[in-house]
Amino acid sequence: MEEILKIAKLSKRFGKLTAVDHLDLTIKKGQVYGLLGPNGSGKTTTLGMILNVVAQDSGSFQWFGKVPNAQLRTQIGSILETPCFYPYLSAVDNLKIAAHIKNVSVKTIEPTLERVGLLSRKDDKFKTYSLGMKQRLSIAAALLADPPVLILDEPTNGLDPQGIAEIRHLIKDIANQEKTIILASHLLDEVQKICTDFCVLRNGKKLYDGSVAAILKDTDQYELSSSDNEHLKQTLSLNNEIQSVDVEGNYLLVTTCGELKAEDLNIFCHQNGVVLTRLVNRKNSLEQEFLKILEYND
Amino acid sequence: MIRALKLEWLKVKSYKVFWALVVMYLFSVVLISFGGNFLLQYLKAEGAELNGIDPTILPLYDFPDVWQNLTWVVSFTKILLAYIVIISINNDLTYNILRQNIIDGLSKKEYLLSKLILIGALALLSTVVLFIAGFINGAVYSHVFEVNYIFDELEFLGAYALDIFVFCSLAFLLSLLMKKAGFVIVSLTIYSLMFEPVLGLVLENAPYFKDTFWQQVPQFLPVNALNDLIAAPFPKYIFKEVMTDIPIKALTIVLFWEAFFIGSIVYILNRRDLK
Repeated sequence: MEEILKIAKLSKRFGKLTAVDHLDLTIKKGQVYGLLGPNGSGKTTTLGMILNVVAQDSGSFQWFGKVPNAQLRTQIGSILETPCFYPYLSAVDNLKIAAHIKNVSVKTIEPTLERVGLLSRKDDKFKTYSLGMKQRLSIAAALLADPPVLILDEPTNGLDPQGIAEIRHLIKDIANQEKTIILASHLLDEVQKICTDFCVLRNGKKLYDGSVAAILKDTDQYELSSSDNEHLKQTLSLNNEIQSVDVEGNYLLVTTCGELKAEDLNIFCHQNGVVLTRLVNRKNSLEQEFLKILEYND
Repeated sequence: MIRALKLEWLKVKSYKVFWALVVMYLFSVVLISFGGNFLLQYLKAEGAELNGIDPTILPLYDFPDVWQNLTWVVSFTKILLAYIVIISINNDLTYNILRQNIIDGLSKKEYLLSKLILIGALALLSTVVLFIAGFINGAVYSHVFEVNYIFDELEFLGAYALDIFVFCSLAFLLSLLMKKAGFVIVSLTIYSLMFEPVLGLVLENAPYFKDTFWQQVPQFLPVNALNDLIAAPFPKYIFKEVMTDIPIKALTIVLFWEAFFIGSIVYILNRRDLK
């Protein structure tokens, strides 16, 4: 697969603090890449460096296999934390500036505003916008040139649940168009829902990288319930392939020895006259794995 | 070049504060340019006499003297243009526009160019308005109206434009250094209108510094060097010798400062992290 971004031994110090420490990273075409890490782990600094607004102390990076320059940056759509626009200009006037820098026609502005749902407010000044609208305007600016790469830094920060859902929907939409997305977040749930690959940073060092699917394997734990959980529990105790049965709220948490799958559980219960109302195979969550990675590296 | 010009145009086009300040500035230029004879009539009414001469007969608007007279007086308003530059740079910093522009694909060189174009456009606009004001006043009041007199000494307009350009470059540099617009405005005003002129007067005239190294220092300071570009013209009306050329020495010092200002701006733009 084509390499979109290659970072080699990138480092940045702020006084005594090492914000990014010899970071190596390769992001390939089509990946939705999550940059994970606690607050202050160097995510934003890394993004700042690869976008040339923060000067690296050492190391290098390449965009699309080339030495970075201003022209290449026009092919990257970025949203870094806070939306940055002139408050006294309208959405359209602000986007005209972005369109001019990115060398795209002003004709792209209205369709892009439509896409993020701001067309009806296009002539209103930026300062009159709510936080969610401001964030959506940032997304519009990033999408303006229809870039092959999108960089998002905490895109749902400070948004209400509806805003978060909207932004996620938009990101998934974009990811479906074979675009490469780099997403920095400390919201693991967010990364789990959106990303294909991820890495974990702490104190500027990379602790782990890999694919999301590989780490979210099925577990040997199942959530079961029926109309009579007590009876269900007794029935399950007859099966010697089940290691343990615990009551968790209104369902039972069943741990199997590994051979017994969801299908087998269902058949077994049915044969014993119990109709299941719930049968869920528990998956690892990114959160658990993330905490494990941090713990392992302590 | 065109790209940088258009970028700056998009930034100021719908910015009402910018246009309000430009209009107020141009109004003050026009007001001062046309005010000479009213001032003289006021002086006469107050009973002022210059070596026994009626002040209203002073030929302030005679070609080509009008150019030196007007550029010298009006150049004091350049601080208003510096305020416009400070506000423009400060907006780009406080609203993180510079950072966003770079992320969007602008090079720092293009950004520098766009702001120098803004400064150049303000200097040009001011010079053109001053030329028109001077020409109208000359056409009305001048005792001579021949082409070789009208267009003599137009170098003062060039010096005037350079004066504005360099002073606004200083404002640009200070805005990058200090970031807070109010602070830059107060600092630049105090420094250029009070601190440096007063220091210059003290060092050049105080008996204590006479014939010492310190007496030579003021001419090398930026604001003094800018003020030296156009010599004060009015002593000629009390029959004193007045320099009617742009002094090469002051010009050299000013160009040196301009190189220093631009060099420092480039250094800051390249080195500073935009967060």
